Amino acid sequence: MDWQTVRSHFPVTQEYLFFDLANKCALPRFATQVIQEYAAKQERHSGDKHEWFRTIEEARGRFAQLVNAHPTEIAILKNTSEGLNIAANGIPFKAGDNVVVNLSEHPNNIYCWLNLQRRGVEVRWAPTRDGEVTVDALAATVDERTRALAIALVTYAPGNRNDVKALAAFCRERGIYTVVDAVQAVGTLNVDVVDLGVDMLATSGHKALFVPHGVGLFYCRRERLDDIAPFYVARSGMVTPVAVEHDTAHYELALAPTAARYEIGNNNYLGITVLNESLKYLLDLGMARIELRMVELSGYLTERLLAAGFEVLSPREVHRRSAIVCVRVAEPARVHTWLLARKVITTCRRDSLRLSLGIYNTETEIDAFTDLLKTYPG
Amino acid sequence: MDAERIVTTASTALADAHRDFPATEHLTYMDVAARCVFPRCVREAMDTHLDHRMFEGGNKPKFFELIEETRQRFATLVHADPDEIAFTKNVSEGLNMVATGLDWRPGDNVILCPELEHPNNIYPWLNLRRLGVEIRAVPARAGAIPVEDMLARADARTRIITASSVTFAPGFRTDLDMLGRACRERGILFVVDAAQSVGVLATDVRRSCIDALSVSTQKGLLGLYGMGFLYCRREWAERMQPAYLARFGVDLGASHEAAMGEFEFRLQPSARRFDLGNYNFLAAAAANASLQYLQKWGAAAVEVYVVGLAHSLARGMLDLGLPVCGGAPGAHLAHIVTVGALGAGGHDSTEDPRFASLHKHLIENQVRLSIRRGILRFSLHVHNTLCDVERVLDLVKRAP
Repeated sequence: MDWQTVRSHFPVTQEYLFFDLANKCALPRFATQVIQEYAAKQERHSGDKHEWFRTIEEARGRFAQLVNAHPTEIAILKNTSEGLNIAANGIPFKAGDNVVVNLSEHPNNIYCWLNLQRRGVEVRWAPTRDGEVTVDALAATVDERTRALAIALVTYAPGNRNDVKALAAFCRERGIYTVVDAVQAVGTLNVDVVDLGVDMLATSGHKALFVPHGVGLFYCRRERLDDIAPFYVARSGMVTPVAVEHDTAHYELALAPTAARYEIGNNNYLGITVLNESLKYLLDLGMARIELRMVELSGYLTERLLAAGFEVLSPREVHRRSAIVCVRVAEPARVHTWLLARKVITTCRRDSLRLSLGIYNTETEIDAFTDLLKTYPG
Repeated sequence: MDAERIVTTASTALADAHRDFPATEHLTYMDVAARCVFPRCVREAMDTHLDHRMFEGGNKPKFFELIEETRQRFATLVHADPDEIAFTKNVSEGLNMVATGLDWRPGDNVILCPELEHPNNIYPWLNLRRLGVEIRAVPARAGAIPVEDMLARADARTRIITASSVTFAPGFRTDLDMLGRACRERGILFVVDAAQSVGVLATDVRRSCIDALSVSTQKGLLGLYGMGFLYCRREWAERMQPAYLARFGVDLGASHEAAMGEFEFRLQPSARRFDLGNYNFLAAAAANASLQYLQKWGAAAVEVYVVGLAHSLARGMLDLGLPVCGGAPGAHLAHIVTVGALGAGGHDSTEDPRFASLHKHLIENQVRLSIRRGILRFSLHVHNTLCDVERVLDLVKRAP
């Protein structure tokens, strides 16, 4: 499938320059079609739970394939925050232990760790430069009581990649858990949990996986599943057959040996049905190919902005770049509103204008955008 | 009270509600205790939301307005303050939030009736054993949650009593007012699993002295899977520390959704501190529409109408000589009518060949119902009518 065909699947592109995937997706037609079918079934006869259970397992398998994990290492949740909180509550911290975070993280990868302070866990801040935490910076922050590193694979602003592979290697040697917020990477970059060597990874469906809000995904490396006990529990996280619509007068906690132990209660079957379609779409395109296209586009956008005299806050090196480009403008909120009135959708983050690209964007759109931005009267 | 009289004294308009539900054109749907069929307005609200998301990308400030509107509607429905409502993904999440939000001490105890609770209102409490919390299991009495027996087991270390408002099987009501009042007097946190009742039976958390109530939107609330509400009374919520915390649970004043506050943070007032990460906006759009729909009828009228139908169904089944759980319709009866012997079979099958064959016969004749713990479960909502009841009774009478 060529990129022009991909573009035709995203109706938002007919009227808008949509540079806001890092915030949320504009739904592709295949997503809304799947939702229509699902809703029609629930309207006519309430739907078929067995069909949904099959869909969940198919989606789990596809997501595992997308990030090079095993299906038993994947839990399907409601959002990234749920996954990060499972990690924060599941890691066996003792009072006096510490966790390393940094100021470039999204607040949702901060508060779950600050929340541990009441249990006597210290939160340490690794220094960053242009959004990045280097191995040296991490080394200068950890001590023998460091139990975990929480870090974004790609920051939400300025959109730099962290060298998570090197950071995770450093952590593994010291018995430190690596917890990755991958929400700004999954679906735009080729994420490989084995190659990265991370212990846990959380992401959401509503950005580059093209799912309506309400689906999260959580990876926990097989060897770590026993260490990371679920904090919230329900029947669905127990060993089968207890997990499946089963009840008895005698209950004991019998946790599933797989990452399903982190799943509680009825799932967002509609969201997962869309996820299953989106994952098929992305796997068919191939994540390696998507990543190449994304860094090609972000490189082109960076060049055009620089040529137009703007200051780009995101990295320029291809290995540190993502699908996010942040540009410094005076009064980002005003620029954002001005652009929106001209049918350009962007976001303001951390005193910059954030442009985030997707597989439907084109060089022609980028040209049109940079030409437009130059005419901003401020 | 005579069933027909209850129906006639209720709003006669409700007899037309079935026209709002496309499924009723070809099904006699008596399975809302499993999940709902949508009224037309829910599909329409979803379509509008989806078109906006597909053609215009989605306006996040508008999404947040939708969330607050939905929160307000649910708060109104259960007689709570909007600040006392958190968004969850399902009943289990809400119950786990409460279970992990207290400062447990070894020797504290929780009282419940495991025989009749849904497993998802059992595991979160069992999980507290690791903290030295004692789980006091009280046996059921004639298929009902034994309110007085539970209270008799309470002592100074009882922190929580939990019960379903209506059990998933055999579907009897619990006397929430009595249990709630007694808990309030003793300072015990009263937690209600309201999965089976909200949207069908009128719920008043103030009158019933409920401290926490968890519900999802796919049953009586006529919405989607993947969303629920947790009500937590202000006085309790503000003493709780959410185990799971994210940006929306923190009070940052009016700053942006992705803004970072101080490292020393302040929790959101009341139950809002339990809001976790991005909301399921599509499910909120659906729930907002269905809450508005239910609001139109009024919770009291819905309850009178639907319970009236359940009375007619139960009476009719008894007249046909069937073993209706609970016997003659009375105060125990909600919107769920169950037939058979509880426990005769697995979760969704029955060992009694007579009921297995009756179930098959009904399904073949476009009736939708469930089998739970070996008994046939008919569960009703506003889309049901007296004609539905008569049709089912007629099918039962002529069953092979």
